Amino acid sequence: MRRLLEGAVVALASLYAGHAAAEPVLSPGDEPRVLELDASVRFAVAHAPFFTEAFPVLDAQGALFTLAARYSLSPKWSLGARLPLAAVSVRQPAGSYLDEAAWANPTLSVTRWFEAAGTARRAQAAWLGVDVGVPLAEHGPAAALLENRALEAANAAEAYLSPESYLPATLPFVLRAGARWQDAPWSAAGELAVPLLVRLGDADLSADAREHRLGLWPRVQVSGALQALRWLRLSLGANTAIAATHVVEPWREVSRVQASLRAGLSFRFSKRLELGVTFLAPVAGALGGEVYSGGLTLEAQR
Amino acid sequence: MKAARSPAGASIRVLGYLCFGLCPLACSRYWVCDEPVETDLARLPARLSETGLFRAEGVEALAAGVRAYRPQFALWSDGADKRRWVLLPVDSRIDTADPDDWSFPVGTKFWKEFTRDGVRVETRLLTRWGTGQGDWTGAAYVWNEDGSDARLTVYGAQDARGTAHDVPAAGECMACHGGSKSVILGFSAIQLAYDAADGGITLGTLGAEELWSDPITEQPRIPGNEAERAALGYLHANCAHCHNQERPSHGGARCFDPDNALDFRLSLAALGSVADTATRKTIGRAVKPGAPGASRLIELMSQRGFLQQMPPLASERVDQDAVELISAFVREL
Repeated sequence: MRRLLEGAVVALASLYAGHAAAEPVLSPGDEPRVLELDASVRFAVAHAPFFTEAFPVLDAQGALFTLAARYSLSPKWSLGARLPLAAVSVRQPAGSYLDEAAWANPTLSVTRWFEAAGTARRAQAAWLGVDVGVPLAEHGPAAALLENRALEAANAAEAYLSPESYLPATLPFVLRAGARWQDAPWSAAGELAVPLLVRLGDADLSADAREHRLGLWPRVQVSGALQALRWLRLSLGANTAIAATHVVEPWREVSRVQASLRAGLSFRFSKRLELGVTFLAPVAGALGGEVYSGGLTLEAQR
Repeated sequence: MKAARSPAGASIRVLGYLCFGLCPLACSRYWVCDEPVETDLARLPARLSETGLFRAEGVEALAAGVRAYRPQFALWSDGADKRRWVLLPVDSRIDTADPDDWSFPVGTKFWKEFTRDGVRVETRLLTRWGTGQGDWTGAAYVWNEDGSDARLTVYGAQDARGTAHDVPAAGECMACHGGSKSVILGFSAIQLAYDAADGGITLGTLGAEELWSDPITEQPRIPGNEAERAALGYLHANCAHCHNQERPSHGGARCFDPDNALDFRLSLAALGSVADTATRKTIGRAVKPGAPGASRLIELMSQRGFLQQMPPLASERVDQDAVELISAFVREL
């Protein structure tokens, strides 16, 4: 049974999807009025810190669905939207699991592109962006916090790279700045994002939870990619998220710095259809060795 | 809790199940249980002092009619000290027509108190509220810091009261207790068939006080030598609530309903010899006779971790004495 499970985990991990949440998918210079849609599912096993005395840690396994859309208004401006759903089995204290699903905060974004002069083979671009979250993430019930725990498992599954999505009763604003360099077949990108999280309520957490009105959770993501074949791209990324200020402190003291590594393969089936397979593993920090996630992203453009 | 869910929440759950359905392991996710039913939990008082365990003046003196008992084979609870009590309704009798699966009168209450490392952590309550086989509700009460009372804790707690003891959620009660028609695991002919020095209820007490419908005239005796009896009893108390072939059917999640032929249950009708017991007949599927080191049963008892341990619930610490006991039993098979 153990071997079967390990095999299944590896198989699921090999299906992992999901570009890092903040990675821009639209290329600068895209034609105006291009709509890009992607749907991803990520399977994860997580053991992560939580916020209350009754539940100081969470153990969960399940899937994270994300629907995202981007629309290119012009070569310089694009709009985006993202909606994650966590469908997770949460471990109860004695060791059984309970299925739970919860919507996360939808986010809307605006991105301004800056493109340097280049060729089809060599190009550089930069961007500035703003994301605003809609505080609709589910939470409760107070005695169980199952929805809170499902979302926090999803937060951990993304190595804390998208806290704006997974913290309930929180209004998030994110400022993003990034740059990309390409000298085919190689390319590299980096982005700094600073989420400011404004606490709007207690999200059903008990009175013993240590909450703050404002949270600040900056992150840096860098990645490199090789277009190995016309239809195949390999990528490797490193990420760091820093909980400068938590909106809710983990019940047990843990590291505020979370590093993670991401490896991916992208298969281009046509000009408008791409399939991504990625694996994300937190290293060190609060989640190192405790969280694994993998899945699949299907991306379509019209 | 089930009844508290919104329609929107229900639709999301369907999506969740759809997702899990895509996973080939989904069909056999025996570790997933249902949420407790809110209307059942509403039958439980908010505080332990209101459950009928104690006299009105405090939380030490037992209320009239509450009786202590102790099973001769205990469930391993990571070394916690346990005390147990039962309250049968006045002038009621236990239906013992099925000597292996007693049926308790409506209104019966069982309590079990857990003390870990000297700290009184929780007291669990199981109470029968209807005549249906599944008309039982259970939950845990976690003790206050000052020990003045305990409060209902429907979803349990991790590392409660500063100990390493985890308090189970109400939805987890039936993961073990639901495996027996009787629902009660430690209060049976097998478990009470001994002479208690501490004055607790035993089979003899039940008979003397005519608390049963069908007298069990002969004291059940576990077959084998002392080591074999101890091993059979341990497996009965720690494994049989899941691994038995008489499990009542139920709807919903599998919730620790094993899909195999193992049977560690001791039945009064099969105590002639060790070879007669269901344990001896089925244990070959999990052990290599004479070779405990090569036996899956011993491997699972000797480690802890998700899908890597037995028992799978409510234990984070290996029962080393039991590993040695069962290893010796396997060695002699």
